Amino acid sequence: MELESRQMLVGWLRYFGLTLALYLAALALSIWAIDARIAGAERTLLILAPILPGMALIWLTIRSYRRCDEFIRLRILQSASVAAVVTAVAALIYFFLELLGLPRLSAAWTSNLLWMVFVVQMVKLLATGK
Amino acid sequence: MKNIVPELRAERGWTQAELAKKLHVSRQTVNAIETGRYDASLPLAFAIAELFQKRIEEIFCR
Repeated sequence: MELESRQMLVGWLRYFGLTLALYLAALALSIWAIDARIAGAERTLLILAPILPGMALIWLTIRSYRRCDEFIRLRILQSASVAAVVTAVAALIYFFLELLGLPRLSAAWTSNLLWMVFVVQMVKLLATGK
Repeated sequence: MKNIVPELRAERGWTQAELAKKLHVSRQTVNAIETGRYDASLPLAFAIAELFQKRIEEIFCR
């Protein structure tokens, strides 16, 4: 990877990592507040805390997408489409396998699979054209 | 779509990264155009033509 792309990636990872850490911290606080012995406005504020960093994550993602050039945007869209189709088909196949007796899996696996397929394609894109 | 971008770039002694910087795109985009995996949009084709001081049809052909 050339220097400019690497600097962009490091910059993006720094912002995204920081916002994600903030989001996860707020999420932990929110989950804690549900059962904690606090009431009133403080409880409401704590439970709603992940909303702002969550919105920031969405904004960062859209900003990063808009900063990409036309070819990268196209590849991102293609990767997202492939990831969505693969996940949908895999989920449907596993639904039938569950009927045949395979263990029930958490819905979080669909999200994991979606991201895995998407990330693999993005890494492939970065690795091409050496 | 075929193109002579690699030849034009080589004539000027530029790397793909240098050409990408001049066109304000990623090196992956330049590589994809040169290898024929991606057809540049009209604005990008104009930018390439302007940079190499040639007409679009002189650079890109079927």
